[in-house]
Amino acid sequence: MTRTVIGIDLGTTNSLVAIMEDGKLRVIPDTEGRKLLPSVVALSSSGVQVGFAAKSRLNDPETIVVYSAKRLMGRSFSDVEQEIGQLAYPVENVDGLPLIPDPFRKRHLSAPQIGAMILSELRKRAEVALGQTVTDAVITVPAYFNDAQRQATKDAGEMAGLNVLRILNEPTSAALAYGFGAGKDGLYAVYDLGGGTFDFSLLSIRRGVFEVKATSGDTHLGGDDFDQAIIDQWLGILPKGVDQSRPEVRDLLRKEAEKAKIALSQNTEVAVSVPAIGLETTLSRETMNKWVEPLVQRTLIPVHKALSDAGVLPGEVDGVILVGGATRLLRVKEAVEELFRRPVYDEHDPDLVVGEGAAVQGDILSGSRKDMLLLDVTPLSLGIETMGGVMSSLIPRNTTIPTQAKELFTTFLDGQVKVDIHVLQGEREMAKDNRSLARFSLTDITPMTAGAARIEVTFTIDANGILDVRALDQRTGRSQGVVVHPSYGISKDTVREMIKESFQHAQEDFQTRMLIDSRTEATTVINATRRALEKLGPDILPDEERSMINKQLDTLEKAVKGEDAKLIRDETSALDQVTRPLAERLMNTSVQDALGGKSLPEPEREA
Amino acid sequence: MGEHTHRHSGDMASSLCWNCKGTLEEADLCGTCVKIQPFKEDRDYFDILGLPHRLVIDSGTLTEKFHEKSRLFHPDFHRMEASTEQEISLTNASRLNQAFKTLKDPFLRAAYYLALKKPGNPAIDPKKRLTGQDLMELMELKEELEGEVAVGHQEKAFARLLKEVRDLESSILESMKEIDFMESGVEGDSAPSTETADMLQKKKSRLSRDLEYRKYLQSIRRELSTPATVKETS
Ligand SMILES: Nc1ncnc2c1ncn2[C@@H]1O[C@H](COP(=O)(O)OP(=O)(O)OP(=O)(O)O)[C@@H](O)[C@H]1O
Ligand SMILES: [Mg+2]
Repeated sequence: MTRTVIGIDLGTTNSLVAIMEDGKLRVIPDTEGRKLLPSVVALSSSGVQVGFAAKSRLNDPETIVVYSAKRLMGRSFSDVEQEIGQLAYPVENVDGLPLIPDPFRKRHLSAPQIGAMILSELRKRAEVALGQTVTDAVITVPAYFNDAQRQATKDAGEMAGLNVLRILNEPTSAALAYGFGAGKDGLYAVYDLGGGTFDFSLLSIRRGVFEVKATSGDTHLGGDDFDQAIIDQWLGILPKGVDQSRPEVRDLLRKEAEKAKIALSQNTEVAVSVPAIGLETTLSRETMNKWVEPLVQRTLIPVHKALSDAGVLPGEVDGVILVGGATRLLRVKEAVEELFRRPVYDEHDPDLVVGEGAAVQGDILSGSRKDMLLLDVTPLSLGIETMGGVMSSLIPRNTTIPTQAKELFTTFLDGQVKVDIHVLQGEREMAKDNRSLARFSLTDITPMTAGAARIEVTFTIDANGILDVRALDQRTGRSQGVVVHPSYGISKDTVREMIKESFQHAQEDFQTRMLIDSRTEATTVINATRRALEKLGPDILPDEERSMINKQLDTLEKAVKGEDAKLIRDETSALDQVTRPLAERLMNTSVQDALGGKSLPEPEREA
Repeated sequence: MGEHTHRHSGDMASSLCWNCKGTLEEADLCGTCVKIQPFKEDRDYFDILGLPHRLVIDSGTLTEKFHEKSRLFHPDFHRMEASTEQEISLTNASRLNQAFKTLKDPFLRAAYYLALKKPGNPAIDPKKRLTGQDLMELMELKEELEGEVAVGHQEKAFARLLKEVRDLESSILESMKEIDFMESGVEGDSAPSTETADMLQKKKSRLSRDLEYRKYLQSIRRELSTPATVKETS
């Protein structure tokens, strides 16, 4: 039997989980039928909330509401310093990492930990729907994510107790969901504009093989920036007295800007009214298009880069797949059509298609299908720093993965026992202009004369786009020690710590839930019993039995006020014991409807 | 790594399956236990893709072979297997990808072909591929083009360079065909005439020189276009 592998789209604004079931794609909704899960986590004294519950607390001053945490994934504090100002929650610099303080539990949370909370929620959804535990998952990332961002996403999955079988590129995932069966072979472009990221990929599809030709993008360009462009204009017309730097003002503007933007996909003009800050205006589609035009044009830069990398002209593309909520913006669709003059595919819900593709890939990995194969590429060149601070490229961008490059290293000094290798990702000539991934130290080299050592280092980029480095002493044929110092993101040890910690918290969360569940259950039983007692005369319920039941009701009520879930459950069943004879009598006298609420209710499910 | 010891290529035992130790009928997959086999060191890119050693390859056939082998080795199809198989799949798929990338581009392919230690392939010293005269020619061309760019005739300079590159490329592709033709003749004959062998040698040397010359032309192209892109971004 093959295991079910779930597919997860961990989005900047929304996330979702999907599975393949009997050859059919299914997005798993929550108990209320909602398919998307807002990528939002709320931290407050009463606990941690995820999703809709968290989003509803956006304006609660007692709560820290964390959203768009994907923008912090695998980045250093200095990377994100600029945009932290736009976020309405605090981000602190702890050892160079952007961490979110959780004063209620006296801890700091990293972006992967926030991601893990969202992933756990989705995992629970899947487990409820499938009626079994789920561990294997495929998680999508923007194609233009670098090694650190991919690793951070994988870490998040592991912290959520998932076995991450694959980190999959979002645009490729969307193409998989489209499936393109027989007769549809050709060259396709995927234009993916989400909430916070933009990706563009070119792929050729031939008899079930999806071969990515080139990919490009911008990890800091999305629908959020369109909202910001509208806000920037509105700030100019706000009444003088309004303090524009207050987070509440920004929150209100952000909500209103997004609302207007979305409305303009339907209407040509919207009225804007936020009395609280004295914003009264109208916005026409034409005006908004003008404001966001620079952003639309910015998306075309990566498009041209990928086309030229693949040596393809826009007219040679057979079709363009539109993905991401922000492609609903009419001007975006229009710009894509103007450039390619080719059929545009947008019939799959752009919000769901990435998660659906992840489920298809999960199905492939589970071994249940061989008809489809994805050949993806690495989005950024990988290299090492050489003399003079120059980056020497080992694996150029758009190389099909997995891929390996071997490089020979030696010593410069007599008796040298350690060689440092600085690994970089990026397209610039100078090392300092590229992203530093890690410093690897080749350790315990046998002391020799300078230049005599022969250490062969293999750089592997696996199918996830994640780097692995191994070294071999060519003279002895033995593997050579490699110590990794990641430049950004989190060391393996810290990740292990966090996984441990997240299990502890899961334990705490579990206990809180148990307490809430048992309280709900007890309260329901108490109310039902009291209602029944009121209706019953002494003919059916003798006084001494009534007082015994009343006594147990009081005991249970006292327990409900306490914190001991087990005590509550014990006293609940004690009440059940003392009411049992009565219940049985009622059954026999066929007036059981008087005790209609007696039967133990299903514990209420947490939304 | 796995417990199996690495054997030298050419060793007789290396044609046994690493897993069930059965004799291998085909190099990629064990017919008995259906396990994928690690590529031996001596398999070149043509062998890996299951293609004959030829300078001219039909791109459709190449892609087809690449996809066929990818379906065999890609890590996605071995994700649920033991770590040894995952390791083999990762290494093989990596080499397969490299093989495809090299053979897909006719100029990379030609350079790779000439570097193979095939019997009859002349050992060409890379330093001697371009003659002094070639280098002089290139220097002159570069100076002239820079001169044109300096007086604002950017487009004209590029058009001229592009023509140089195109002409050279079509002559390279022509010699690739000729060499293939001559070599298929040689393979048939048991003893090629020294005259044919000589000609072949000359053609290969010429091809090698042209490939090198093309590299220089392309580096000139990059240098010419760099200042332009700098201007664009500032
Ligand atoms: N009708 C619409 N018109 C314009 N924009 C829209 C519309 N509907 C949704 N959006 C925008 O789409 C964005 C969210 O898209 P999506 O859910 O695809 O992003 P995501 O997957 O969370 O982010 P990412 O893929 O960048 O991580 C938001 O910026 C939202 O405002
Ligand atoms: Mg998305």
